[in-house]
Amino acid sequence: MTKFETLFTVTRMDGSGAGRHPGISLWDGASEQSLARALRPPVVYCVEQGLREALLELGGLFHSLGLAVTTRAAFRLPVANAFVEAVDQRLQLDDDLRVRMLTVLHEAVINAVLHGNLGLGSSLRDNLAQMARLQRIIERRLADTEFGGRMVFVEASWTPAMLHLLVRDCGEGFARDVAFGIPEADGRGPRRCGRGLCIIEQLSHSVEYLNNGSAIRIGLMR
Amino acid sequence: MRIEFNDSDSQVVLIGELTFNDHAAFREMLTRAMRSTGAKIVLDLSRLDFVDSAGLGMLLIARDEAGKGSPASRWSVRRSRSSAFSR
Repeated sequence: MTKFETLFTVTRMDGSGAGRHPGISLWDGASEQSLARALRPPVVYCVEQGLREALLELGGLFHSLGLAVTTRAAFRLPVANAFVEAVDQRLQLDDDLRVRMLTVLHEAVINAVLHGNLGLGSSLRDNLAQMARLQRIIERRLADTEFGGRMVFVEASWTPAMLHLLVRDCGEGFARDVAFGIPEADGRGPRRCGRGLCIIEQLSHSVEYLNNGSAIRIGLMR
Repeated sequence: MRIEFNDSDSQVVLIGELTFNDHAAFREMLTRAMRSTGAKIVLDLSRLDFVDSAGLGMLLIARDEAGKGSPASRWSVRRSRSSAFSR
């Protein structure tokens, strides 16, 4: 039994027996389907097995939905889709809000994975040759426990008027104005850096960059 | 994302979602299509349901790669019926 289980007696999602605390679940990290099961109501906080540092994230319990996963899982599986479906089960989102939430959450999670926890720069996506190099670097870092095991934390909290999303990574952060200010090499054409952030800001009511940029808090009007 | 080529590899249909996780498949698609001998390469996006920011970046790379081969782009793009950000 892990320290986490000792402290909180969690509900296992692999069928090995429910604990006394139905609000917390352990996800086996195996598939989108098992993640959907682990996020089903009345769960308020779901943690991928092995993420001991996720113990520190318990402050928001019962006022929100939280999810702590490894970088490896966040890259390989559609975590944003599963999380939006889980929020939809609790709030019955309308189509517009569901699409906006899914789009901004997907962009925020990808940013947390690539730029935050894997420490990759946007320049690696500039051309075809760089894409091949990027793929090799990603696979190497995902296989490395230091990188692949880093946590991505996602939280949704809500009021009757607003839905707030928080996405946090374990990276060094970034300066928003620098990310938006990188010009094209040839000075023309659409921007190549900060495009995901631009989408997030366009579709959201409010965006805050916290912890030196390693966390983003997004407000969506309901 | 699913990718379908015609017999000569000069027409490519992208189906489903084009996101960062597809960058390996997209790169292979691009390499294969660029080897085709047709005067034009048609990239059919009409069956895409969702494109994220990384997907937009990949489409820009496709445009740039086409421009390297000849003064006039070989690519012809059929756009999606839905907006880039809708499912």
